Amino acid sequence: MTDSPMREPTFLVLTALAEEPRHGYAVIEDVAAMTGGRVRLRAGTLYAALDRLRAEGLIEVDREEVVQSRLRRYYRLTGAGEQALATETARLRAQATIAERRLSARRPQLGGSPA
Amino acid sequence: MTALEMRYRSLLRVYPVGHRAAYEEEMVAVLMSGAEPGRRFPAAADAVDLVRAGLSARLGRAFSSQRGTGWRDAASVAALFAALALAGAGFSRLVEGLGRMWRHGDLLEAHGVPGLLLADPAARSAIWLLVVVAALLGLRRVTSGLAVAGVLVQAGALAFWVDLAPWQSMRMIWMLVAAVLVVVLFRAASTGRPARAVLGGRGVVLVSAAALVMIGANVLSLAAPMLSSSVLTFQVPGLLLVAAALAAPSPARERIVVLGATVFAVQFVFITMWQSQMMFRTEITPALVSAVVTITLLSPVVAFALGLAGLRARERFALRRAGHVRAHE
Repeated sequence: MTDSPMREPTFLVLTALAEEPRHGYAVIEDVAAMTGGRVRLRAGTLYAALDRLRAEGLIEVDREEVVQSRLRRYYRLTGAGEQALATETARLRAQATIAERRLSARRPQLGGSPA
Repeated sequence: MTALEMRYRSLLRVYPVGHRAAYEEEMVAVLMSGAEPGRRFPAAADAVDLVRAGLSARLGRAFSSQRGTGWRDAASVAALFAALALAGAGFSRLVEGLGRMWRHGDLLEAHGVPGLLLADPAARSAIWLLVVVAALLGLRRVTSGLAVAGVLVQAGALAFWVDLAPWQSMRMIWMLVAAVLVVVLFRAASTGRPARAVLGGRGVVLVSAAALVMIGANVLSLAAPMLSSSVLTFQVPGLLLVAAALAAPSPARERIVVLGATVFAVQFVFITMWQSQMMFRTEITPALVSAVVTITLLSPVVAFALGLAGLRARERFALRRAGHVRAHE
């Protein structure tokens, strides 16, 4: 489970829930805000991720509320979810660090090559 | 309920019932929160996303239920049964050969080596009995490795007889096919539970009893040839295996029957074919060999397809009955 890289929606949903328990629509809005509007999760994708994460024990139901006769179910990160998000974050950071190092090593070469 | 909400709800029917029961209300809430005022039809991108996710939830459920309904568990048990049948086939030949040697002196001298002809059944009984023991002990990787060795032994035995006695070689074709099936089944079972966990305590006792009866009956027939009968060496152990299969818990039980029948079909079809062929005493021609091989290879495929169709029909019937019960509640 933690061996293979997470898909982006999964990572973003876990990140949204890492701050505080959120209901479905709040997750969509938080993900949109985090990514500057680049990722706007749709209901089908969001609930596919939520259902899988629940089955894997990475998130659980926090509480339910009814607002204007609509059901709001709040989800929160579990201990295992925290761990999975930490592992994935470390993996992404390690890759980003390598990419960054190689890019900065390239810069002098690029500068020196004839345009 | 607005027209838009009704349309969203009808889109959500793409999802399996269980998923809808768990998420329909909050998904409708999310979809309605996301809809701009005045919208009457679901956005195309939302609709596509729902249908895609709903269908993959259905497929995912079908796939995970395939994984969870005991095929892997059944494979390890069917492989164990087939290994036991191969051990039995080897052992009865070994005992028969020994008996002949004791009664008539060594007629089994091959290439000047006394008793060499017994090497084949001895090796076959030994390797398959080891497979059976390893499987009963739950040593998964050892079992798989020994089963591969079993295929090599069967292939070697078949090659051994090709020149000496071509008919004998022909007679061993089904065992090679069954041996390959054993390897395939153990491989398929490698992520499931080992046979002894599937069978449970009573099942393991029944399988062990089948092995002991088979060995005992063969030894008895060596000591007292007039008492030798296929009832004790074949039918009684077979019935004990059937009893062990039926003692397994339900999702695996029916599949053990299907896979067991698949392996048994190889032997049954071959022996039937063999007996009819023997009556004609025809020459061994390439055409005959390829016909025999083809039929032997097809027999497990046909048996498995029939078993699968039967299982599907049975489960559909059970599901329909459960549906009726729920409708009346």
